[in-house]
Parts: sequence; structure tokens; C-alpha cells
Amino acid sequence: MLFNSIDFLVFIICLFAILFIFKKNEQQKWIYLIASYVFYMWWNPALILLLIFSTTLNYFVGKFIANNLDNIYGKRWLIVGIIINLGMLGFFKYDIFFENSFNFISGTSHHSWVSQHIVLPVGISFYTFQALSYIIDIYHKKIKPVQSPLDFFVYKSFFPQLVAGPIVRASDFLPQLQKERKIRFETIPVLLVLKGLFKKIVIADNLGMFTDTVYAKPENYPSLIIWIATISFTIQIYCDFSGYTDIAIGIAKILGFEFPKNFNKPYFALTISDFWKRWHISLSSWLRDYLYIPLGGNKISKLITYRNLMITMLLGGLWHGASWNFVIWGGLHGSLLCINRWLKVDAIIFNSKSKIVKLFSWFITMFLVNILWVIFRITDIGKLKIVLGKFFLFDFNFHISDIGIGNLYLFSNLSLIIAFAGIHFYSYRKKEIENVFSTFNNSILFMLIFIATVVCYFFLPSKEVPFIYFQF
Amino acid sequence: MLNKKLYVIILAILLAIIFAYSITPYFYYRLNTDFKRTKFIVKALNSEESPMILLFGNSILMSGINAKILSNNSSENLIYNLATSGQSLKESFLFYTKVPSSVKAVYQFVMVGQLEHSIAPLSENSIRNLIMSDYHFDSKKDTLLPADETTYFLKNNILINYQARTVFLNSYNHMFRKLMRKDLLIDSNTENLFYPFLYTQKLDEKTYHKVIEKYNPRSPQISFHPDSNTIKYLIKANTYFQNRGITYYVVLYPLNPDLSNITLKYKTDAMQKLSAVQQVHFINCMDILGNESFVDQFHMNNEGAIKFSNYLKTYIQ
Repeated sequence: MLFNSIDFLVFIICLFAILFIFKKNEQQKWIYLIASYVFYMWWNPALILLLIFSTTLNYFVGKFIANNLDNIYGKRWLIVGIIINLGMLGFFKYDIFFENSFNFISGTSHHSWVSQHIVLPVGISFYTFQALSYIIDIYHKKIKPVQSPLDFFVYKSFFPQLVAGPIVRASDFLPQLQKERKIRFETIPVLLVLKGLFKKIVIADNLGMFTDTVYAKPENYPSLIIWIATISFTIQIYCDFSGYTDIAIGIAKILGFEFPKNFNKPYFALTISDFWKRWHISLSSWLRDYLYIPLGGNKISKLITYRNLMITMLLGGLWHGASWNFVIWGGLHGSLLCINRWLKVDAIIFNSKSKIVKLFSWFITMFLVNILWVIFRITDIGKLKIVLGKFFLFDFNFHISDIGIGNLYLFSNLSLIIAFAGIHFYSYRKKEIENVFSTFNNSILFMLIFIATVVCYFFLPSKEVPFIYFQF
Repeated sequence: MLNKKLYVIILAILLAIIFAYSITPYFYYRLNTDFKRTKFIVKALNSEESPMILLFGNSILMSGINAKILSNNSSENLIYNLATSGQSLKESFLFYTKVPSSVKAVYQFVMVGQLEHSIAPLSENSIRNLIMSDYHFDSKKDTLLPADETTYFLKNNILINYQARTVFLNSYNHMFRKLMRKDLLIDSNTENLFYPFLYTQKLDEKTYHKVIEKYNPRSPQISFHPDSNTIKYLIKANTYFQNRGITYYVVLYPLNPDLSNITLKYKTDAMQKLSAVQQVHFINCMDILGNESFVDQFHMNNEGAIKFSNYLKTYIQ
């Protein structure tokens, strides 16, 4: 079920209505569980079995670890848990990747039954990482295993964050389940949901159509259009993913839950490491806590730190998808982080009082982020070469007569890019749009929401487009 | 349960959706878009005036034929140029069944290359545009196209009206395009049923060569391979008109000689193979113009249109 669908609107209204009738905490937990399973089964009912299996497995592994913390079996159960979780992820998500890589190296074209028949379970990367953090935290005695299976099942399947995050940790979520909650229809969470929908439907989906058209046949377009498409994708992926997160956080807030922040104006990052502190924060911090630091972090030696950065980013890239372009994308980000660290760029930029230095650093960072998004987006190596070629060797080949029926949406896309930049800048310098809107009096609020809705209505794309991060 | 602000938000959203939905049909053909002309085509086909000859085609025809030249400015021999931007062959087929009984001949204009490819299915956009332009589809009479391609006509009007909202976005882009394309007479001739020309000047040399390079086939074309399915459609249209006592012609657009890889051999081969199709009468205009008659790779300038119209006049008389 997509957040941007009529199905979801009906689903959420029904859920609110049911929650108004059943107000006891235990009742509400059952309702969340059933609702989350319905939400998940909307795509593919059979895949719920995998989620149930993963939940049951991790519930018991967590218990076994906790019962054996003072002996060797605790560690062994942890290893078993990690292997099974990663094995499931590998089997369902990376089978084709490994198979294609093997075929490429060996020059064969073998395709197993699995790669031809198994579909990628939506959200498997997210709920697997949640499970891993749960059992690792138990092993490190950061949390105690959850006593109620119901609580754990709700935690693993809670629909607002089930398929595309943020990756909520058990230590953050489980205590919230114990408290009595009330549905709170406050202005800011509702406006946050609307903002998320606006980002997704109006900005991301429209820019996505433009990007898809250009990247499908990049040889047909001049450098200027390639640049616009690249910037469009940079904005699209942010609005798509952060839009989902806004909706998830907003809905959770209405239901009485607090989710961690997942984005913090990443496109105002001054350096690459600053970017990763602002982009997909729940994944970055997960990778930091459960991969980078256990590998030794930056405590051992410079060389080991660089190695750890590279491993973390390569695996972080691979987490995004079963394709080499994601590995390359992660590897390049890792390399930039190493260079950043080697040259002590953060210290130079953040200690500098010169605005020009900061502006220059921001420009370089955004340029690099943009380029790397191209590698993230285009899986076809031939097309990637063309796009990068036209990106770097500007051909000055654009002529206004190119704007025919085929490029009809160029101007509305440019308008969306400008609108995004304006809103993003305002919320970076002043405050978030939902906070601004909530301060208006009723008549101004009515007028603004009315106008915004009319504009959104006309910008609604003709088809529902799934969130990009669903495929991860 | 809800605070006052939330009532305001919900009310504003609901009213805005109702408002936007309600104004869509009113603005659909009042806003300037490339598709606005369809409304006037539908109107012309339903008008009380009795045209003798109708011409169907795309933007090349819009700028290529002055129907007044064809009819010698005679109001008795009324000829309409019913071309629209991007009018596909299948879209023309939907107009065929609305051709009034006064009509004696229908001329369908095509690029020779089009006949080598199967005709693309009608897009939902095209059908929606026809519906919003008051085209009334009759599943019993409008049978020139396969039924599975016209199912969109049978969709609920509420849904169609909702999907028609894209006209605002089209119009928004169209407005900027109009501001920037000084070489195009966008919107000026939308209602012109005789010579709805678009182009005012030739592209500058650099851009002209660029488009020629882009559209010139990569290697010299020698033989022509007609698509049997496309030819079948044309035969079907011919039979349909024959049964109604109307003569049907397929006119091959003049080709810009700068598209040098479309060779004379290819054109000759095309005409030989098309002449073998007994049921359809093809008119060859591929070689009648020099490159000075074109503004770009395909479209004619006013001088080209005069020459093309005069050439075609000989067939009409």
C-alpha cells in the first residue's frame, strides 16, 4: 500500500476510527499488528510469512542471547542470528546480483530457479537491520529482550516505518509501546504528513518523469538538459525519501509515537562527512554503531580508519540495491570520506569564518553529491558513460527549438526546482514550513492550504509512483 | 477531537479539490495548449457548413497546405485543413467516422517513413483530449480501430474529468514555450480551418544543420519496406470511405532534400511498392520541393506551402 494512494487514505481513516473505539493499550497493540500486516500484505500477501518468520526467529534469538550472556552460547546465538538475518537478506535480495556477477566473471549465463521466481520482499533491508540492531543490543546489554511477543511483533511490523524506514531501534520504540497513548490530531503532525505528500507527489514524481525520459535516451539530449535532469534526480530522491519519512513521522506522531529524524537538510551540507550526518540519518547511525565502530572505528590507526570507512560505505552502498552501481556509489562516497578525513576538510571548513570558503565548499560538495547520484541512478553502463560525458564536456548544443512536444514539461520542472530550492532554503535559514503554517490565523491558513491544494491538484502525476526506497 | 485549525485544513483541502475538479472542463479548451485545436476540428466536423474536401495530418500539414489555394478561394468548393499538432494516423481514423456526408474526398497526409512502421496505439491522452473536446464516441459506428484500443472512451466521466487536470500543466509549459519560441506562431492560428501555419522563419544555420543531422538517416536508404499492418489500416479506411461514396487519398509529404540519406532510389522503391497496393490511391509529393521551402527538417515555410498547395491542386481538379 502506498502512502500516496486512495487505498491508504481509506486504510488510515478506518484505523483511526477503530483506535477511537478501542482505547486500551493492549487492544491497540493488536490493532497495530493487524493493521501493519494488512498494510504489508497489500503488495504480496505471501511475503507476510517471511516477516512473521523473521520476527519469530529474532524474538527467540534475542531471548536465547539474553539467557546466555554469561557464557559462550550468548555469542554463538548472536552469530546464528546474524547469519540467518543476513542469509535471508542475501537470498531474497542479492541472489540475482551474485548470480549475474558470477556469470560475468565465468562468461556463463546461468539463471537459477530462485532468481527467476523469487520477488524482492518490500522493506526487507529495513526490517532486517532493525532485527540485527535488536539482537546486537541485547548482546551488548544495551537493552533487555522484550518480554511480550506481541510487543516485538508490533515493533518489527509497525506500518509507518515498515517498508522504507526510518530504521527505528528497539531501545527507542519498545518503551513507547508500554505507555498509554492517545491519538493526537495536532496541527504540526498533520501538516508534516501533508508536506511529505507534497514532496513526494508534486515534486519527486514530476521531476522523476522528466529524469526518466532524459536518462532513457541520454544520447538525444544536450548537456543543458542532462544537467537539469541530474539536478532533478538529486531533488527527486531527496523529496521521495524524505517525503516518505515525513509522512511516517507525522502518522506515528498522530498515533502517539516519536520516530527519530532521518534527514537534516542534507543539501546544505558543507562537506561530504557533513552530508552523511544529514542524509538518511537512521541508516548512517546504524552503520556507524553496528559496523564502523565494531570494525575499530577511528581508534586504531589512520590506515584502519580508512579501511573501516571504505568497508562501511561499500556495504552501505550495497544495502541500497543488488547492483554494482550501488557498490561503486558507496565506494566513491567512502573514498571521498577518506580524502575528507585525510585533508581534515571538516576542521578547515567549519573553523573558517569566511562565507566564501563555506560557499565554495558547499558548491564542491553538492557537485560531487550530484555526480554520485548519477551513478546511483543509472544502472546501464553505456548510458552512464553518455550522461557523465555530457555532464563534464558541456556541448552548448541546446537550442530553444528543441522545446517541442517531447520536452513539454521542461518549464514546469524548472519551476519545481526553483520552488524546492526556495522552500528548502527558507526552512534551513528560518524554520520548517509546517511550523510556519501552524502559526497563521485560520483565514490565512485556509487561503494558503486552498491555493496549495489547487496547485497540487493540477501537478498530480497521472499515475501513482512507488517510493524509490521501496526497492531497497 | 480535532482542533479548529485542523477543521480549517480539512475544509480547505476538500473545497480546493472540488473547486479544481469543477473548473477543469470549463478551462480545458479555453487554456492554450497544443491540443486546443481538436475542439475546433470536432466543431468543424459537426458544423452546418458543407465542406467538399477534408485534409487530415499533423503539424507538417498545418504549415504545408493552404486549403484556400486548393479551392481557389471558392466558398462553394469548401476545403478544410483539419491537421493538428502530433495528430497520429489513428487519431485521424477517429475523425473519419465523423466526416459529414457533403464530403466528396478525404486526403490523409503521411510521411513515407511512417508506412514502414506499425501504427502506435492511441494514447489515453489523445482519447481524453477528444472526449474533453466534445468528441462523442459511438462504439457501434466508430469501428475503424480495434475495440481494445478505444476502451478508454468508455471510462467513467468522473475519472476522465479528474485525469484531464493535466491540461493546466500543459498550458503552463505551453505558455513559456510560446514566450521563448519567437519562430513559432503558437496559438495564433488555432481556429484557422484553412491554413493553420505555425512557422514564421527558418531556423538559424547552426540549428538547422543540427536538426538535419539528427533526422537524416545514418546510412543511405535504398529499399522501402511497407508495414503490412499499417497498409491494412489504410485499405480499411479506403473501403470505409468507398462504401460512403467518398474518395480517399493518401498523400506522401514533400521531403527536405537535405535529408540526403533518403535517396531517390528509396523514394522510387516506395512508390513502386505502394502503387502495387491497388486498394489505396497514393499521391507522391516527396520530391516536389527544394530545401529553400523548409524551415527545418520537415516543416514548410509559406513559399513551400504555396508550392505544395498548387501541386496538390492539380490532383484535386
